Amino acid sequence: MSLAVTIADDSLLSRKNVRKAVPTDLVADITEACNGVEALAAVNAGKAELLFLDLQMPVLDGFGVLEALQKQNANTIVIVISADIQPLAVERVYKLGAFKFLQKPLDPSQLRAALAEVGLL
Amino acid sequence: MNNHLLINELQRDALQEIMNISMGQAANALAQLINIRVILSIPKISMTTPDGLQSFYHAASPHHFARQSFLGDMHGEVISVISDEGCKELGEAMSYDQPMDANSVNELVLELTNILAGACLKGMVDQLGSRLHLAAPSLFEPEQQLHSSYNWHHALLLEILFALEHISFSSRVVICLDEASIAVLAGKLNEMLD
Repeated sequence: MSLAVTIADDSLLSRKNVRKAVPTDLVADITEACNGVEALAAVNAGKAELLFLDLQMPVLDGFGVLEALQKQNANTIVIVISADIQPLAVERVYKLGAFKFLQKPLDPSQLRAALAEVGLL
Repeated sequence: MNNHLLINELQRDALQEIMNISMGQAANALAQLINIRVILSIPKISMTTPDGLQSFYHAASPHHFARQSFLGDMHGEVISVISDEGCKELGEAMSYDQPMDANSVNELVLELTNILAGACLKGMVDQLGSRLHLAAPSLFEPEQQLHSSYNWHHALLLEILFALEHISFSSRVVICLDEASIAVLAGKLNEMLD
């Protein structure tokens, strides 16, 4: 069975980069979201067992998404992929329940390692 | 300011993301130095002319200005604009002797230019798989900036704003690329979007 994956990022280039970096041995059904509200809608529609989440997004940012997911006790594995790599941002992301923080530009080998760590590969 | 871009919408999106990432790296360099969170905003991309740039300087006073030129397959200059007030507050946070004299303000402006503008440009170039040589920054007075020193008619203006939590510091980094460099940039963006 394929894994429901959502890529939430306002940048088309970044969504493409994440798509390219997802290993081919992960059978994934990929949905794209352009902001936090779309990301939450994807989660609630069962399209995000795994969520790749950007932090800086319009409408609702990545922190807002993490807060909402924490409140609703969502059963979604979140891997944050962010350009904001300041220690305080990383710390906040983990406090809000993200499984992993990866920095942009995304290194496919780091994504692979994170997926292996969570047991998806 | 002329907003007709020499790059298309997809290229603009890609460039904005590249600048976001570069800005994140620059902000992290600054945050590690002063242990204060840098608030990031979305970079602005527009076209400008020498006249447009001139009015940009006037709108930004009283500020300190520094520039660094760069050469490579893309060439142009990166300008940093730092408010006098913000510079002094940041100087305090960075344990400069208070009150700061003109020399230490100048030193701090050049230091910040290296950290912020330098990191922004380096981040951009690294992601584009490009190479360039960055000259040392120098201070300048926009009032003494004569039009004749510009050898371009249109430039891509990448404007990045840094702000700090709890300190009224703000800084702008402006990257100016001439028309030939914009064509090189557009080609590189297309490769990334493929």
